Amino acid sequence: MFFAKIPRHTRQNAITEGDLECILTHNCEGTEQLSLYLVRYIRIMEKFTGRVWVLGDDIDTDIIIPTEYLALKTIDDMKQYGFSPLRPELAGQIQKGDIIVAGKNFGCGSSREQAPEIIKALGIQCVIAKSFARIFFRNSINNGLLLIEQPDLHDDMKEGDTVTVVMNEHVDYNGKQYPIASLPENLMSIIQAGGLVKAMRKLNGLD
Amino acid sequence: MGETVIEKIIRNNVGHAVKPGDIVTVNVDRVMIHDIFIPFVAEKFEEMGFQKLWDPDKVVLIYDHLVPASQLDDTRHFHEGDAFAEKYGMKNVHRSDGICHQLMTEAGYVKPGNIVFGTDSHTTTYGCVGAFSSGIGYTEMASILGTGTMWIKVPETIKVVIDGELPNNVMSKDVILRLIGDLGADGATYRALEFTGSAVKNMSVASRMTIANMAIEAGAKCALFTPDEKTAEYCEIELNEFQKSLVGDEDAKYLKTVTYRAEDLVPVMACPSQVDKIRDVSTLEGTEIDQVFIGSCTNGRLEDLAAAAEVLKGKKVADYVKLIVTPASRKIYRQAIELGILDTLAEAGAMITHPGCGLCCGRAGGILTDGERVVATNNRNFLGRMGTSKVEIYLASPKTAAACAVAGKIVSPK
Amino acid sequence: MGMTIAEKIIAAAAGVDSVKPGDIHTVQLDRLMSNDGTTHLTVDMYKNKLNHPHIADTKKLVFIVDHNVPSDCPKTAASQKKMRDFAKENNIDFWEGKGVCHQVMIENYVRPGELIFGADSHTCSYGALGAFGTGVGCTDFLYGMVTGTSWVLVPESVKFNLTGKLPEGVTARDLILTIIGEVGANGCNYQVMEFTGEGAKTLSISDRMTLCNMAVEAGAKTGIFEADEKAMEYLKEHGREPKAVFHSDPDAKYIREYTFDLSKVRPVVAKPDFVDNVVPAEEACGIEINEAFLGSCNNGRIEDLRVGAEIIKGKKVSDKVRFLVVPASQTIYRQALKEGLIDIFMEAGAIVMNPNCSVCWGSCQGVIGENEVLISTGTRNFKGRAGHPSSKVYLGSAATVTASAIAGKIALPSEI
Repeated sequence: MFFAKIPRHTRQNAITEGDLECILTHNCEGTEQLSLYLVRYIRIMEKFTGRVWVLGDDIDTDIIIPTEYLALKTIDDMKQYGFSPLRPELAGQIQKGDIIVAGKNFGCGSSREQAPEIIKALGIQCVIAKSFARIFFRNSINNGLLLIEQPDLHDDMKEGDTVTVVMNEHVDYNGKQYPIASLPENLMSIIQAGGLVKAMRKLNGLD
Repeated sequence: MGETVIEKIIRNNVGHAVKPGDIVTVNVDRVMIHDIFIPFVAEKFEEMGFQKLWDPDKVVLIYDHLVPASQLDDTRHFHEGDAFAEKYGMKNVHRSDGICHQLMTEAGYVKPGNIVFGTDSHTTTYGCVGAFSSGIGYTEMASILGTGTMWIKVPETIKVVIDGELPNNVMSKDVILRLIGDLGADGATYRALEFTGSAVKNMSVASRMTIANMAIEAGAKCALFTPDEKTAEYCEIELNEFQKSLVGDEDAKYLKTVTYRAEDLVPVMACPSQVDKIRDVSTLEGTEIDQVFIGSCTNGRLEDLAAAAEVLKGKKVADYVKLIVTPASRKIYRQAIELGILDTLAEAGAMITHPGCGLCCGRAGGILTDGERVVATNNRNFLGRMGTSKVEIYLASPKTAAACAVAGKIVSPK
Repeated sequence: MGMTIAEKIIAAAAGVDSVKPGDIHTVQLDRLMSNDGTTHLTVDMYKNKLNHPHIADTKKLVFIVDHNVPSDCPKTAASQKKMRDFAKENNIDFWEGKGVCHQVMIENYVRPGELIFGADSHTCSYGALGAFGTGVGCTDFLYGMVTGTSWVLVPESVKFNLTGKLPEGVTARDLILTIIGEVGANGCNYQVMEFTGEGAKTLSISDRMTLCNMAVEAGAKTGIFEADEKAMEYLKEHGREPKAVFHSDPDAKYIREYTFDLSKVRPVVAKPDFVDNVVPAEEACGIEINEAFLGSCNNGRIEDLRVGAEIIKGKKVSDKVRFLVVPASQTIYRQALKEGLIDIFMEAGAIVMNPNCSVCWGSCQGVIGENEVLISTGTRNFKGRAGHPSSKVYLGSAATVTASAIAGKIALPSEI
């Protein structure tokens, strides 16, 4: 994920809670409210388990949601078409709490934010991939969809099996542990706040 | 220490030197929203509780993906866009003038050195005039509309040097396809691409636009060209000192440098269904095709239409093959009329459709079905992008596409 | 006893000396036209329902892709592919994206005296050149395709005696809407509308097409003009000879006769949701619109584009309106390019499309949404015809439509 791309030493040293405040207060000009709000909401999910759907490399945004359906009124109207060019039946099979494990460059392509929204609306609790495309990554964070980067799991993964994610540590699968980067709190806080919209509402004194 | 172009642009914006990995908050110079996403931006903006736009003049709303409307619900997007523009005092609304990325530079909304965001991944296009531009989602757009700012991480830069003279049948499209093939579809993820070299200097702004447009297909955050006299002429400005300074310093730190000799490049295609599955056209010759599409923000400009017209002049599109031509903007359409290009294309049998995203975004304008094959000049050949998942999409330059239309099969341009 | 033009064409096609209304005859068809609205269904029937599928004469068949071109969804694309593949396999004349079928037929095939079946209701347009064209369903079409023949019930004829000349600013479109308003949407059911008289001679071939094209909106089997010098000149320009030139006999029998003084015709508008709901245009003026459409087999010819371009030159399309301009054929598009008309429309802010049916039947381009209002030069204003079931369609002339596009509401050129 985004932070996993930052060299390890930078990740450990530079991104601190102070940075989080810096980032968010800069973004929201002169208010400390937001960061305080976010800090209050930080609640690290420690461990969760889910059934896995396995997808390949370069799962693009047109696969996640084809342009044809982008002008439908709501995400709920659209979500049935999720992944339809590749696996038309998949959207109907995914159940709440499932996990997607994919190859490299997941979410490449367009800026359509419906992509992460649909994945979330289908009930997927996180996507574990070898790597993620940039715009998709930002959109996911802003919508509170958890993304985890893991280079090896995909190669070993069998669809239908379950994995257990131990946040900031590793993924457990088939008796083996696949290490994952620790999630910086600033991104985790956006996810936990329920996305950027809620954060901005707070900024504007609405919640 | 020296700076890359992106580092200079960000320094100028934030007022202090930056290095890759720094997270900074920038003041946004301009934003673009298009018709598909405006209802979502509007909803998020109001949900966030903002009362006004940070600067209505810096916001541009463009209807292009849904023009002309092809489905019952499409026009709702126009009504919601119009209502949002009226409520918040936006004047910059284009309702049928062409594709957003073409209009942003053509209509003068983007200048060298600007920082621009758009709700479309091909926003990288404006790097053709030396602007830092990138695609974002509608939630972030809504937050910029309220605050005028955006946090970014300063990207590392990959330098691409192309020296020499391109062969006659090779266009800038072939250059960027080759580069994407070499880097891979995620080869530049979160990085800036900086283009330089004598071949780049000789390119028109339109050709540079093709390259910047497709930078996202290698995952790049942005693509940058140094503004020069061609840029100045295109933007109808005189470059100021800052804009002139947007050259990568000799001692700037690049993640890597990729070098091409222009003379070595050949016409290529991206084969189904990956943008980085690049093959020489010569190895694909003889493959039968059903349709050719010349258009999009990648390759719907005057020089692209002129190149196609040159190939098609006095010839006919092959029997049972459709040629669809969609100029990228109203201005280009009118210039192409004046130069007789549209008549040449129509005489050859092309269907000329109104400027817009058309077939490229897969909503209308020549959708295909199982077993059909299309050669197209746009930027993506993803599975199902132009119809069913059993449609094969080959991406190519306008010259190659036009030659294929005449032959009814894949051939190399002369 | 004397015969009308229509009766003479049927008699010739049936190989008999004379026919009279109510007779049923087996006729040889001169030509069969089918478009992408239904050809895939015909092909399915041909391939799946026939024991010994064959085509009587492939030279008589014409397949035209015009309704949904370029295609807007995979389903449409699949139908068109079926049609294209069948045309290719059987060496059938095939046109794709070259224009609305009736315009392509008139420009390239139709000859005076011919009997033509088309799998489209507006096939009645061909009467503009003194041919008998009529719309049929897929089954009739298939029968014609396989046997080269069909059966016809000889229709009665209704005479429309036209006198005088249309005033400046009033078009054939206003005339046919006025006529339909007068006789009613089923006023000529299963009959032939024969347009004749001194006034008829003043009308151009394009005007005559506009009239004949809408005959079906009065329920008629076809509309027809005598092939005069203007028709001969048109044929000559397009490199064709007539099959036979027929004149109605002085003692031919008509079931009814009407007289219309062209000089008294005024701009009119057909209000939703019926073609015969015709009122003086002034009565509709002021109604706000979302879209205006200049095109179709009824009013997308060069003459219509000239009318529109003259009105809009130097002006702008209203911000509230999408103005779609769709030439009826590629030939017309190129002529309009040459005359500078396309540039005038583009400069004004119109959306200029490739030749097709689009807005006229609510598909692929310019579809109108919920509660939207369209003013159109298309053929029909039925409920939901151009898009959402709650939308409304007004029919008007090229002049009224263009003026409305500028004003943002239904307007006459004199108001803008």
